[in-house]
Amino acid sequence: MSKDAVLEVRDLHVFLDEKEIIKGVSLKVKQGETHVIMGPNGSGKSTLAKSIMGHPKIKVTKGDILLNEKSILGLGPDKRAKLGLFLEFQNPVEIDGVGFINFLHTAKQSLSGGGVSTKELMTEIKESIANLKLSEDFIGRTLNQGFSGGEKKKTEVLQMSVLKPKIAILDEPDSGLDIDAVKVVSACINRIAESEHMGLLLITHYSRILSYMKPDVVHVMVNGKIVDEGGTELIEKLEKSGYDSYLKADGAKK
Amino acid sequence: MVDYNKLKKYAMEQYGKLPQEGSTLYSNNFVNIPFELEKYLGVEVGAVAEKSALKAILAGDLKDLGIKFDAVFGSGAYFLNSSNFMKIKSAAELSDNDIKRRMHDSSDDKYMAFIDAYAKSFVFIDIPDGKTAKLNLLFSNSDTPLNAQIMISVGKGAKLVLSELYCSRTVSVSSNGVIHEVKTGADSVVEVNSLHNENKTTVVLNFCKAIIGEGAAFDFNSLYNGGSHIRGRTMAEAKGRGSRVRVNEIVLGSGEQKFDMSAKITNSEVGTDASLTSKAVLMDTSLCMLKGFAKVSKGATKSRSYVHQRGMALDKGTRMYELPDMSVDENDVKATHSSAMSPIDAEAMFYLMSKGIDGREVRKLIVTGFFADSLSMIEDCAAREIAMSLIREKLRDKTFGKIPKIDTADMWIAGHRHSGEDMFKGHYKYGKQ
Repeated sequence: MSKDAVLEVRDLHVFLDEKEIIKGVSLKVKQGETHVIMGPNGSGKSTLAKSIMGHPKIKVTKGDILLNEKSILGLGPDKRAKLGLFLEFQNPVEIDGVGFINFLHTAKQSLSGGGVSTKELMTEIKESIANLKLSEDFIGRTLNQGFSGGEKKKTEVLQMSVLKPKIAILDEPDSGLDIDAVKVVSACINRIAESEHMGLLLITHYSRILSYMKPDVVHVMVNGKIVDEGGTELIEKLEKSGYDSYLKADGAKK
Repeated sequence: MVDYNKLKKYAMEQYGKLPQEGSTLYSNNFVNIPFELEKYLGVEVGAVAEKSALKAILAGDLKDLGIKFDAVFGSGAYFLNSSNFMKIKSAAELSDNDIKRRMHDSSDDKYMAFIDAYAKSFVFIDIPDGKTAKLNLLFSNSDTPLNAQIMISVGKGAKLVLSELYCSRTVSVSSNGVIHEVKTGADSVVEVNSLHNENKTTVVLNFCKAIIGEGAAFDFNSLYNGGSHIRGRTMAEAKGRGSRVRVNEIVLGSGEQKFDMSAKITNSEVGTDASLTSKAVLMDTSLCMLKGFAKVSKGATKSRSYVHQRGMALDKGTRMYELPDMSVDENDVKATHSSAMSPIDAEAMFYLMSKGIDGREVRKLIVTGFFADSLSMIEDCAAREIAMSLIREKLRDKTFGKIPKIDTADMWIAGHRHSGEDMFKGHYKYGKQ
């Protein structure tokens, strides 16, 4: 049995467009665990997700990102994905003319080193489409074009189910979803994570999706820093008092 | 009696005196062809050797394509495999009627004059009323320029799909030049697919003049993949009531290739539809000029016309010029033009790479996606497969100039059909109609 993958962010400092966004974040996610990062708008959650995946515009000025104790900072996004990381985008990019299925087939081929049976892939996709309550029309559509906000989120989860990463970073999988869709998407994420023994780093503003999931660790991120960590009790605290106390404390420090 | 020698003399004079860009509109924007092509005519190989070389191609690389070519043209020879609806003549064999049916004049363009002056093959494709034909032609230039003219006449209610593949067998400067003339009867359907994959030392000359009859449809799809200096000149007129012309240009440049594409579409009658779609992707230090002119004539009410130009630069050293223009002389029409160019989208690159696809494959995906709509306009499946294969091959290792190996890994998804309606969807003037 292969050893569980561990993603570690160590004292990470990140600049984007000459502005420091991440100011010393550390966390460790093991395969099979579910971590949640909560925080107000603009706290750097999405930038952290993109930093882990290797966005070219992001500059890491200090600290490190490691997978299985090896730095991945020098690797491109595709190499990081091949090591088992996956990013579910908050705003998936629409790409003209690229068929959704063709994209997924190419990605799967690339991750597995080839030999992907189209027939088996289609069976898998159709199963995921049914689980996510998506229309089979998706099979003939181009990547994220003309998708509603909810459809975009669901297709990101569909990708995760097909690509089977070791650790998935989910950047607000609940935004833009109605109440029923949140339930469907979270059930799918749970099912995939459990069956694939996947580690999850879930980024969200809201606690609704967390009522369907069982996080092991909750991190609160404010102004580019992790300011609190704990178990599910933190979610209840945030439900009651919001981020105000953290924002005030951060302001006081300044 | 019309004497071809007189026409040839006139053509040679025109070639000698005409400027490279005859249109005042584009006099500052054209690609200079730095070769005096007539100087390379002297190194012609014998017809027997040429035929034998062409037969070797047919038996070799072409066999793997699995496509039957009805005629094969070299610089100094040709042969016909299938004579259904098609005749080929040399200049000496032309009759008065053959010469009289010409729709172009040597004074139209410097390089049309060059082809007129030195054409070896005159192809006559005549589809009788109500008949259907599908023809495939191969053009392979050797060290001497290949000049040919294709005269197409399609009868009432007839249908023609003509697909042409161009490649080279030369190591020195040469050219591959063809003039197409298309005239259609009422309610006919014509698709011409012109796939250019000449090599790095070949000048590409592709001309098309089309006059489309009542209720008829004409599609001119060109892929410009190969060649050193590439010159495309298209004039398509929707002349009959309710007729449609659709000009579709696909350009993929690399190295120091220079493309000069100019197309004019005209709506001349009521209820006509004319469109020009030009898409270019450039790599390295290649250059492309897309010149599109749409004219809606007085009286062509209820017509639709659009010019749509899109460009994508994959490398910083590329240069692209898009020049859309329009002259609308009638009020009750839908007419629009647009042009846009950009580098490859960095966010799209990141998105696809983050899913595990390496940079080179991502570029391939994005570029083939960019061309997908244009490729879907090619109805002829074999031509579409070749076009896609040429594009994939060039994106893979920048090779061109030879017979492609069919690589249709993405073809099974390119099933969506292009709709001209999309051009007016959301338009500030026509979107709500």
